[in-house]
Amino acid sequence: MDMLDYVWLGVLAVFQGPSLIEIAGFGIPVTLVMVAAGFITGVLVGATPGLAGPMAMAVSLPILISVFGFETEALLPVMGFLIGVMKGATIGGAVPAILFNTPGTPDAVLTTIDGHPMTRAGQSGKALKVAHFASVSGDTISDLVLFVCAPFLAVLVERYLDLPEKTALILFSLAFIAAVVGESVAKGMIAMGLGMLAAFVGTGEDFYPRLTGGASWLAQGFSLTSAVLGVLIVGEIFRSLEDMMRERAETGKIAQMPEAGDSHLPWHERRKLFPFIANSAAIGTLIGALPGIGSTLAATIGYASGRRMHPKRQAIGPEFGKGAPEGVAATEAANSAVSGANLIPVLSLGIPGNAAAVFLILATESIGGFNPGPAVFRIPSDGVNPEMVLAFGVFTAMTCANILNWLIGGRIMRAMSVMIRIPKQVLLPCVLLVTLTAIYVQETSMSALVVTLGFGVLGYLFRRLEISVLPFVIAFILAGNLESTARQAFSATGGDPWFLLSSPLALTFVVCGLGIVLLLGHSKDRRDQNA
Amino acid sequence: MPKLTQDRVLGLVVFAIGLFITFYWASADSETGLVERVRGRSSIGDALAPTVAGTILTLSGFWLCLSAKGERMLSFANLIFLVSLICALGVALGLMRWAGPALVAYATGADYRPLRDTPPWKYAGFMLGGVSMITALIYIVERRWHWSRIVIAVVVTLTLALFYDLPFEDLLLPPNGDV
Repeated sequence: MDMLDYVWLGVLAVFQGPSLIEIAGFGIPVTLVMVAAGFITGVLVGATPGLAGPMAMAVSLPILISVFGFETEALLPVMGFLIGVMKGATIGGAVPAILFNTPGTPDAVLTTIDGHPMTRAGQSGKALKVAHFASVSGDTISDLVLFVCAPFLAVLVERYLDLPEKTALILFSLAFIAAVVGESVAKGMIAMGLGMLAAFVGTGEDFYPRLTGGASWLAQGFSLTSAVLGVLIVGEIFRSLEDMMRERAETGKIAQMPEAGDSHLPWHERRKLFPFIANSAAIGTLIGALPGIGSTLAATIGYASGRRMHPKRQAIGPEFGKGAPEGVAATEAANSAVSGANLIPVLSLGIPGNAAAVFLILATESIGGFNPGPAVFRIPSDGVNPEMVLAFGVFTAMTCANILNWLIGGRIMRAMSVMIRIPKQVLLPCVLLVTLTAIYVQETSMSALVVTLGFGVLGYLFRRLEISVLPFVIAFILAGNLESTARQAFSATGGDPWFLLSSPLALTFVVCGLGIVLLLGHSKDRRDQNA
Repeated sequence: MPKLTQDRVLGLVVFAIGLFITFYWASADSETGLVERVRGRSSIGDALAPTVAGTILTLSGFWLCLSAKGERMLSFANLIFLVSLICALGVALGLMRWAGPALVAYATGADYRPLRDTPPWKYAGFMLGGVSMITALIYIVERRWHWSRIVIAVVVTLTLALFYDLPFEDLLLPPNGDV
């Protein structure tokens, strides 16, 4: 079987999978239904200020596992739903930013710069249409790059990377994420070190569970769900609650926003937007393919690049910063292009690059039968590699989500603007209870809730101390893999303590990792001193 | 003498924790050392990985001390908020865990465990804990009690209880899975 056969099998796995409902005698595949359900949920969540895609993914994962079980057949519907949420939340996030100047995520701050002035000028409908058109275009371009690049990158990794090189690659990825995320490299390294330390508690190969101090409740280590959801979701809820408390104390009220209008975006204007979209999509895809950098930088560079292009072209609206549709398009195309490309390191290397990718890995780890990494795209000499079929099934689900997005995404997005009316101070405590309940039904232990809240406090402190949580989460996920690969590499090289420097490729990864930490650290420290 | 900024204090604390892990805790609280030699073959021991994490913390803490910014990030008000949050959540989780057994003991004199999957007892802890969690957190932000918020909390908690409990037989609401 060659690669194209696997592509076809992946398509069939989605369309010939079990049917959920029948319409006029035709069975509607469960994966397609789940993609659609996830997409609508994602837009709803993205359009709700204070909520984000990862929150919906966190809450829905245990429910999905309860419904579909732990069989391999559950993977496509569950992943389909999560992918739908990821894509829906990406376009939904523009709604509060444009209509009410309340960006739910840091990259949506850039959408407000031109999006909200358009709303104030009575062009909210047009701004939402521009955001949807740019977002879905950027996302589609990025997905196409993912479909082409991930298998080939994985094949290259499998061919050229042995155990020492894989160990060095994980080290390089961790160093890279710690260095590029956040304002300070030293703080990124602290987050990474703490993430590794937390992951090592209660694990190891010996009978005695290490780093537990003899406490039996720590013997199994911290659960991935509690640690990840605690730091990512609960910590964010704590911070948002405090921000609202301060806002109320300082202004006497919590911000309420005006009503939205509507306007038209004709085809000739869409054509003028396309150079900005293409430029930002390329930037977003390139940045998304590198783990950990995330959509904020993509949106920033996309916006800055669009601003430079703007005077040279025939403009639709005013200049950047004063309600330019091109500004909304440049930002949205860039941050949406990150989401597809972010799956390149997940599927080809097993390294998650952002919070949404973390939940996809969490789903595969919970259900089993699919281990993201280079082995996914290995073509066996005889028989079928079921993981590769699943990977192409996931690509098919992403394509279906994109088609859905093109067809009805804009309408759903505009309809969801009503979500802005829910007060955040009421919504977030409810989200916290939903998150804790979701964790309990998965872990069935009250101590898991205490651990989750403990990690939530850690996530809150990280945010207040301006330490990025992403290096912590990714180090927590990759630490076990790093240790087991290093153990195997050490044994395979006959106990060579210098195995990380034994091959040119491994040495390159180590030197690059150290180099990026030192170079970026130096430049960020100098920037801070000059500021 | 360099100014003792918050970043610098954080760096010093992390540096000290890193040293403690690297030179004491990782080896003392693991069964095997950095490298083990069993039947002539060398293998990595359980203490190596935490030692690496400790070394990263030591170096990054030291680096933060050198490159620290002068901004104040964490205030006393932040800590007050955190303590009030932890108290509210502690009370809510306490109610969630103990309200059901206490009500059963008061009303029937029986043990909670045989009744943990029987309405209304199985909802008691979750309802009381959930409603108190939502209302307490809303109060922390708004600094006022309002009946509408309590009604919202009851509706949300009840909906959540029914959402998990009615369609999924194998899912247990807190705290019924481990009492």
